[in-house]
Amino acid sequence: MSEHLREEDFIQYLDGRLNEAARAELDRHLAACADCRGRVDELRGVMGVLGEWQAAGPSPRFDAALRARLAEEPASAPPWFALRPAYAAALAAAAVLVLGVYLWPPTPPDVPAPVTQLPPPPLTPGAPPAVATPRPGQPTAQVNDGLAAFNNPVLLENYELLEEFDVLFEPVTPEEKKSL
Amino acid sequence: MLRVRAGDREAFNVLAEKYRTPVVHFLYRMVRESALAEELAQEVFLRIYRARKSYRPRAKFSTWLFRIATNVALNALRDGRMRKTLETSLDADTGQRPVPQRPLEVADPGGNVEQRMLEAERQEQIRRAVEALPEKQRLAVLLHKYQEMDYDEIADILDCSESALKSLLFRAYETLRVRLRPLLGARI
Repeated sequence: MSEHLREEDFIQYLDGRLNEAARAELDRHLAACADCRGRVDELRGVMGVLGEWQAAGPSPRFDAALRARLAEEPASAPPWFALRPAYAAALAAAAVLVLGVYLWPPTPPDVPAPVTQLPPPPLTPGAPPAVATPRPGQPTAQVNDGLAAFNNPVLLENYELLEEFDVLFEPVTPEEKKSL
Repeated sequence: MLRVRAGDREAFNVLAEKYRTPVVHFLYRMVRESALAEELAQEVFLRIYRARKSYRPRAKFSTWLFRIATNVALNALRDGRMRKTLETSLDADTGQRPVPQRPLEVADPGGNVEQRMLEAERQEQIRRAVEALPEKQRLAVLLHKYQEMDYDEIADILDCSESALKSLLFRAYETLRVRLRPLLGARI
């Protein structure tokens, strides 16, 4: 084998997990390649050094503490209790969302839909606007309420504004003209 | 585990007795605080017990167990439980580095004070080197080196392919090879 060891080869070689043929092939390469051999030796050394790290084991009271906690567990847990916390949280969030959508008060049916077209600005510069200009976020229903506009004398004198109300300028048919 | 699933609590005790030491060792190396490791190990066994009915013997029990232990350890590290414990230890220890509450299971407790101090220092260097690895590499090393699990088991726990795991292990050991070179000494 002339190629250097691949990443996977190093670990399997050191773990002794290669089959006999593969191992023999790597051995031949290692005999000829000082780089790979040096690396294998160092990796083997590191694995040995890691073995020096000792860990604390369970204390003598571990079993008793675990049994005490187990005794508090119900013999048969309800199905939701076996859910992973993440799933349970997602389920709860979904339930809240569905409930929120269901209980949210809908728009009352008797309120007319707001007209999106706004009246033009006043003719005279500096003159007070006939109708309050809506600010961003302010509802426009009151401004565009046709009936409210007819109660406003200033507005009624504003011909250009009245042009906006198409109903006043519907084309007159010949029959209607005759009847006038 | 099938007996546990059927409601045999005594069978569960046998399982806990068999696996408590490897689980505590694993968790200790993850959170490096023995009391917390023990508390987390109990949490792992409780989770196993609570989820016993959903256990499917498609994989080894140890794979399932260490997958849960891994999740519990990572959650503890992320929610800062370890930090709280360490802060408490630091307060109580007047600023000194927190030490394990119990003596470690050292293979050879003999030797003079200086030798033991050197050994403790070496262990501290190893701990720091492993702890500095990226999370997935650290888990791979702990499961491979200290739990001696098979590649397929570790890959299952870490949700990756066996090939990716071997590459992960190689990179982890390569990093450790560089960081721990001063400790290699007469080993190579």
